[in-house]
Amino acid sequence: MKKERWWLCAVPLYVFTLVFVLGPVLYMVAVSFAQNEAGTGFRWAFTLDNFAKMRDPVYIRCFRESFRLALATTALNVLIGYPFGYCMGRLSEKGKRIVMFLVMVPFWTSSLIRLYGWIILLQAKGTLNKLLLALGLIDEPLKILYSYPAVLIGMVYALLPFMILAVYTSVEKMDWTLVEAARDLGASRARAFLTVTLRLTLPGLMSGVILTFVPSMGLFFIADILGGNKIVLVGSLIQDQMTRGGNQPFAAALALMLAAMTTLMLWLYRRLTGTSELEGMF
Amino acid sequence: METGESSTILELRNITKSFDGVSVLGGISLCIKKGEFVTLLGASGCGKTTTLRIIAGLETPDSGQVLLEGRDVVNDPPEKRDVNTVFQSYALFPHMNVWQNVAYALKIRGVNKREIEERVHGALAMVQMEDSGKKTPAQLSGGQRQRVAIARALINRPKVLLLDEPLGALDLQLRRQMQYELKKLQQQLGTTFIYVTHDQEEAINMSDRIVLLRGGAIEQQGAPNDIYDHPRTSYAAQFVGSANVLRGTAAEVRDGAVLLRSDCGTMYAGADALPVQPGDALTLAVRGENIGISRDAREVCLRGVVEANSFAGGMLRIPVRLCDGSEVVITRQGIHFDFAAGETVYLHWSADAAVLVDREARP
Amino acid sequence: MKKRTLTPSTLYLALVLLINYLPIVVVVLFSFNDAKLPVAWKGFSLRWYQELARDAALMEALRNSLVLALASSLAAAVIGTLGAIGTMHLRLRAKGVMDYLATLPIMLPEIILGMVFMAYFALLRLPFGMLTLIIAHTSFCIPYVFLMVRARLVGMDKSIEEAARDLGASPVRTFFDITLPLILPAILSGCILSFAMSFDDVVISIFVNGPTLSTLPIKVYTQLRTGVTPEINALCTIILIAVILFRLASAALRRMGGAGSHR
Repeated sequence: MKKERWWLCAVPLYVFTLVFVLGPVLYMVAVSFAQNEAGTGFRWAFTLDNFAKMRDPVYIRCFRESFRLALATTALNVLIGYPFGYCMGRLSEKGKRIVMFLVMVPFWTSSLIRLYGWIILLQAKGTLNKLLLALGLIDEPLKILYSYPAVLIGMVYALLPFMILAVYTSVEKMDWTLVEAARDLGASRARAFLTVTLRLTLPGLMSGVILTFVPSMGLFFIADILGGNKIVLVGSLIQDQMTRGGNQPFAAALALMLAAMTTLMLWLYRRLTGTSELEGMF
Repeated sequence: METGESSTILELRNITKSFDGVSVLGGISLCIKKGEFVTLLGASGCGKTTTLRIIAGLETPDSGQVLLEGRDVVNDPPEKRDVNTVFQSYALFPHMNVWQNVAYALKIRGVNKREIEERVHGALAMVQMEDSGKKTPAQLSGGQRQRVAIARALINRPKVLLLDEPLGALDLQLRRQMQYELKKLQQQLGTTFIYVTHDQEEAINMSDRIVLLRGGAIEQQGAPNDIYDHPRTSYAAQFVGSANVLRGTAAEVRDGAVLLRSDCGTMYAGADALPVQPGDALTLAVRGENIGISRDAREVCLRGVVEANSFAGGMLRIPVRLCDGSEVVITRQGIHFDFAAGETVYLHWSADAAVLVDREARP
Repeated sequence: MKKRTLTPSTLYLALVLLINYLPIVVVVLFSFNDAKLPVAWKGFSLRWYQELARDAALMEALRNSLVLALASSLAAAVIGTLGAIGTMHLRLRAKGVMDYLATLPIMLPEIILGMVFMAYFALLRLPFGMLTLIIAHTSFCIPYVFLMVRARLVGMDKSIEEAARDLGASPVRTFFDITLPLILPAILSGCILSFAMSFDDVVISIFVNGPTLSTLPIKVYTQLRTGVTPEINALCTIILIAVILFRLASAALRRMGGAGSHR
């Protein structure tokens, strides 16, 4: 076949990518090495001050906090989402469709509104406390809202669908006769699960881990709303430095650090699973 | 251009093609006559599908010419060639029903509605699918998809129909039936068919001419019985009709027969036009059904031991292990065989049953 | 889940789903509550729906969000689909890097994308507003369309397109008759996902929306920090119903399309 000019179709994508993805990213990298000038913005003079500044215990704690929260979110998501995806994959075709629909509907509604639902539920005079008081399980209202557990609940809740979808896709693709073969060869239920099922759905699980861990490093608004400013994450810090603080170079350095950490995670994922596509998304 | 029955419709001249530096076709030249059923036969990777795709215009050769009715079409895109293809995967359009699939080529040519109606109906009737026009490809069985693919490719009345292993995905019984139907169809229409397969049975059953390809070159071509009876190389002998290939040294030549000596005995082969000197290393091909077997030694025979036999395709296959470890397979009709596994036997055949192959110096 | 006995597995699914729906149910319930604060039930009322209709600022934000989501998902559909087709035919040494860059926006935490765009648009002296919002949203919508369409193209039997060429269709005709209908489902899913992501985005929008323009999520976000009016509950209920109806309709359409013949 003669060489057609189909490749021209890629031009808009590449131009857009160069101008609005590569351009901004390179600019951020450049700014992160620029010198901050209070009030007037920044000066193009090479400095590593912005990175040195991150060694301040306040910021180190902030990174640690973000990392811990992301880790806890991911761990809880694995614990709740893996069994869910697994059970879902074992349903009948119709059952799968119904559950998929039920999983997707909240996913398509505003995440902020759903957070608001949690506020209503968790506040001191909220539904949960009223219920618990009425049942006589507690004597005075629990102060869940504006605390670490509330933030964790919000984070897990927001990212659970990603984990479920990733695991489900992988379970769906699995060849169940392999599990049967393992059982047939004398493996116990638990052993068959560990050696076959878990092994084969590991790519889905890993991709779920990435899909929840990476965004949770940046989802600062959940911590803001449910944590009531008590928990300052890297995301909030960047936003603060960018807007109120007026220190763009430092914000850029923080963002670069965060980007490096997530890129490292993605790289590790690729290394471990040997694929570049995230399972469950595409 | 039509100058009688035997005029050439398609000619390939010295076609070469390589993919990523690996040569796939090393100079194929081929003449195909109008109305001929030609089969390109060969193992996978021999270049048969690439040849077909070059004729269709789906690949461009690195060099060489494709002459369709005398005109070089190498630079024409597939849509400009009067050649249509039945793809191995059928390649039916999944988003169109059967009727729309078959009508597609006519719609593109802007044929008027009534004629489309008529011709599609005719084409579907030709492959006995006239009742399935409203079905989608997903609702059809493999054999039905096959029929639709053939109807779709023939609707344009192409000068040449190319078929790329069209029966490969069907089960044995259906394959046999389709072989018969395809051959009948080709005879009715008088269209030139170029058929690609790795199955020697299909090739022998359907073709007017078999072109055996090996490693991107033509190994041998000719009518099925010509290749079957007179394979020129050991490869051709083994690929077409699964002949046994044996080596020996010429001992004497007399009355059109050559006597060969090997480690396990002696054997005959028919002499050919080339001279044979005693002491020459020779290779012969002999078919399983022509090999005689007995418990007693003869004057000219090979000694071997019967191995476990097997029944396949209406034939009994009896492998006999020779003393040098090589295997000769004897075939017999039916399932009765008097010799038990492990028995020592003697194999023999007449001179006209064995052909000398791999004779380097060809006239 | 209805007829069969309740196994531990279905029980678990039901429980997780129940917790998932709890906050949504609460929001919907309190949208009909005749009280300002979502604390106690004061009786059924539609007053928040009436107030919503009168709230010009909120309606403006809703309109902005719809325009933004529509524009960026459509732009992403065009650029992403063309890109997927183009890159399939492209042999370029930098292709891997370019494809990685094109999908980078959904690989990075949103906060980074937001701040990077804010700084960059300021550098380019683009006026912050709908334009900057659309550019920023398009950038994270493109990867969804691009990846979905490309996956579809890669999985497609190449001989189907070849068959069309073989039957006499020009390359352009083959594209419109064969390729496009076959990748259309992928384009649509990518488009819908893009729309949802754009409609829901707050993190990136908050950096590039400018001083005067507000989208629905930004409005909700500021209210969540200062004080929520129950009109938001009402609006959310309406959106929820719209989403459910849309999903049901598209599922029904797909089933109809799957069974009958096309066109």
